[in-house]
Amino acid sequence: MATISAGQLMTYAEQQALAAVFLKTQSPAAGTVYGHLLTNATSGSVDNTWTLVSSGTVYGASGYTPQSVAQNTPTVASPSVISNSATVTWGPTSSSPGTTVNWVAVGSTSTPGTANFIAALLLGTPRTPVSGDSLQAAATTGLTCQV
Amino acid sequence: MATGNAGRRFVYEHPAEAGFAEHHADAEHAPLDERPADRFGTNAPMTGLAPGELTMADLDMPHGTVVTLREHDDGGEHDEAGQVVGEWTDQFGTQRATGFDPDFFAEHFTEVKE
Repeated sequence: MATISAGQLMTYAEQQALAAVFLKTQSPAAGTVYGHLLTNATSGSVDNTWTLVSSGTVYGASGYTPQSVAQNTPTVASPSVISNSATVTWGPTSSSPGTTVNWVAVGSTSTPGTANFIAALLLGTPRTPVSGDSLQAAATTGLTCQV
Repeated sequence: MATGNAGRRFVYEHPAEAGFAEHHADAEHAPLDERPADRFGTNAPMTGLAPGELTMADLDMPHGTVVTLREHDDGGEHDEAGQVVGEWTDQFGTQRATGFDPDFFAEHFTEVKE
């Protein structure tokens, strides 16, 4: 298993990006991406060849559901970085499963079973929500991804 | 099962005017207004908030909130976890989505008639 440890584009997304910029295929149409919370361990447990978000272990608290994530324009830098343009807030949760959220999986839809797995972003500080909690990612610095 | 409910609007009403999080917060943990709500970053520690600046009570979905039902990929009424998902805007203007147990939803939400 080829795993990632620091958060990056998944192989699916790298292929999409390369095929688009080398004009082999047309890019997917503009749309909305969603942030899914995963409880996979921080190292050795997220395989960059996974193509669907449901390949990971999706956080299971009641009340939780994936959030739409609007994006800033990628930075003019090398490596170029894309980030969320506004605060993203999950919850409130209505149960306490006791599991720890370590990753945000960026997916192409809000349904893990159909969402193409675009990027896996590792939380700087893991979170274990209890019932009534919300989780927030800061704007611009919260959900960053680079090529 | 496709029900065509996506886009319909409902208002959350609690008999004690409690927020959704307030209703579900259990006594085993600190009250919502004593739980810090720092913001996380990915790939590096990041908060963006001073300690204690915001609490979970600030992020609650209050009594009287209007939600719009989310459209799911399969056109059905529930997400993969069997929840009704409502989209709403919190007091900071952040677009949110929250999942509701169908029984809780039936008991605490009333459709908004235009």
